[in-house]
Amino acid sequence: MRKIQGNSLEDQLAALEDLTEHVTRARQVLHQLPLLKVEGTDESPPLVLQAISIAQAAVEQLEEFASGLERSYPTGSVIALKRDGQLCRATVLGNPSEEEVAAFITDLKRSDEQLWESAALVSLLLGLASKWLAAGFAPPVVLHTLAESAPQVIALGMDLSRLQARGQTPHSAGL
Amino acid sequence: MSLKDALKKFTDSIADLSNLEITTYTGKLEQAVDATTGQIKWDDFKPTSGKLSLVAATLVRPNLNTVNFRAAVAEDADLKSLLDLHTAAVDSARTGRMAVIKIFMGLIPTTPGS
Repeated sequence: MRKIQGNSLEDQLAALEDLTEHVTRARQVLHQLPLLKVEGTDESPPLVLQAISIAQAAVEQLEEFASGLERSYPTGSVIALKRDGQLCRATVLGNPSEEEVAAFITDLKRSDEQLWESAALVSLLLGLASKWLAAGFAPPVVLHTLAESAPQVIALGMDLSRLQARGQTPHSAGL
Repeated sequence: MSLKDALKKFTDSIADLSNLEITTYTGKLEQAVDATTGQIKWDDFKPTSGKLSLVAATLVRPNLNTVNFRAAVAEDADLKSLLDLHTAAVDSARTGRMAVIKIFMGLIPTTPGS
């Protein structure tokens, strides 16, 4: 686990990166973790672990959005959107049909919706990371704040999953 | 990609909250794709390159004043579809910028002393 000196944005991002490691260490230090257990079940993963998985998925979504979007279509055309700093370039190569352009726009809007949901989740996590830094990553603080926010993380994660499930619905054009 | 790398990549790409420039080009596949790698040659996308046609461009200034350009015609293409695509790209670019702001709202305490 890296040593974190200050409370800069870099440090907060590093704290998020080490999320799993902080939680593992905290669990080792604390012997009883009633706040991690899911009531009534022994088999479901603890809420905090569910929250961590969801957080990882949200960040992957951000990465996907940052890369832009590119689709090839049956007519041989390619439509792409590339983000580069303050520039955003859309390119249409070949002669896509009206339906293919519409399909790309639908994919783009879906990607934007997913980004918006991911942003809410990452924002919540960044706020937590800030608290961990302030507390010097004390295990009780890491676990308590995570457990406290787990229901909210899971709820945001479910919204994201619903959007992703909608995105997996087959459409007429695209890959 | 690590959590930090993904976040850095995203924020670095949009964190410059100055002008936002959105351009939409059209052209032939072979003019824009590298024959060796099969990748799109993004660096060739300039209004002066002569390989691709600029269909539309939008400049959003920090005060949200917006300047738009649209071509009168699009060679071998349905101009309406391309303009719809450009509008979607403008919306997407704005969403990206708003999402960065939303992410960093998490660092602002919601209650005094928190």
